[in-house]
Amino acid sequence: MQNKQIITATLMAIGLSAALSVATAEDKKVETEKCTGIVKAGMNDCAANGHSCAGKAAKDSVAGEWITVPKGTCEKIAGGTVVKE
Amino acid sequence: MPLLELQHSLISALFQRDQLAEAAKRVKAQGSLSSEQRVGIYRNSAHGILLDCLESLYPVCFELVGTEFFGRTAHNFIDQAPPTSPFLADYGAGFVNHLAEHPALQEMLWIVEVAKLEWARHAAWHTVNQVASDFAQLEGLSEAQQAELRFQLPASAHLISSNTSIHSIWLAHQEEYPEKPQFEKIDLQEAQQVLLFREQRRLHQTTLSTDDWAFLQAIQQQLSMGELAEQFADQLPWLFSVAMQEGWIYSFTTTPPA
Repeated sequence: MQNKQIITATLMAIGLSAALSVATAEDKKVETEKCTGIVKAGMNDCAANGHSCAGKAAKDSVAGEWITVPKGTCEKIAGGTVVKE
Repeated sequence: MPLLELQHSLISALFQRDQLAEAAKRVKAQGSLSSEQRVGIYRNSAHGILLDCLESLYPVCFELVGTEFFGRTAHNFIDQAPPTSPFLADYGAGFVNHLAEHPALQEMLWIVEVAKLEWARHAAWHTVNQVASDFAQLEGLSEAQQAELRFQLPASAHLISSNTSIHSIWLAHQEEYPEKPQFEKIDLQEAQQVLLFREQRRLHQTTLSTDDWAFLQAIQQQLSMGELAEQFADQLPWLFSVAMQEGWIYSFTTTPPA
């Protein structure tokens, strides 16, 4: 192939791959919710209960420490409470 | 004594054992603790924090060389290269060279290669986020602009070429990979090319084929689309397809590098 043809074919390949990536990313978007009362110590997602940020929860299953879960999951877990936003 | 001088004296004591007695002259003894012991508490505390930091940066090396060797080597390193930045994530890059110079590791330099990989993982994780290009904008380019296109890997990307099977060794030491290779069965002499990059909160680490390696190196060297077409000929569309789908190419520019 001539360089010009290679470049045209390459740009088509890039365009298709980029479109595919966007479509896949859209498919992957999942609605989430914050869930408290179920978090293991040190595994919380972000600031709560007077400490600075993620991973600072000192005890298991403390109310106020939350993690992000797919929407609808929290109410199915024993001890889980959805954080109202 | 001026405060600044006093602070320097204490810092010297933290990272130079022979300066401990000098700093202790300005500290009172209390109860059963001598002044040297009291300064020593600060030294041990600083070393302890930095040792923990190095252990968390180089967990596979830590497993490979064992607690005692790692601890001794790390304490020497901490004394030789104390932190120079207030940001702890900046600390520990020099540990790779420190290991490389260690006489006991001259016959096992593959461990140093693993350390390079572990530092690159840390550096990739702490790279600042960047904005991806909108590849739909490629459609409006003129022929001349197309030939001048240049592409970029993610800012967090590290291309590592090693004469050791660093990826396999690293995988063999990960608990969360059920299909990890058995360390005893790894050919340590197998050369591997590895790409590391971060995508949001996920760090990707993968071995590359010879073709993909050559292609990504050319991208990293900022070859233009015209030069890439010369070098890779009709392989180029396929190489780009794979790279785009894997997230290896993040942005583009039509401006030649300065």
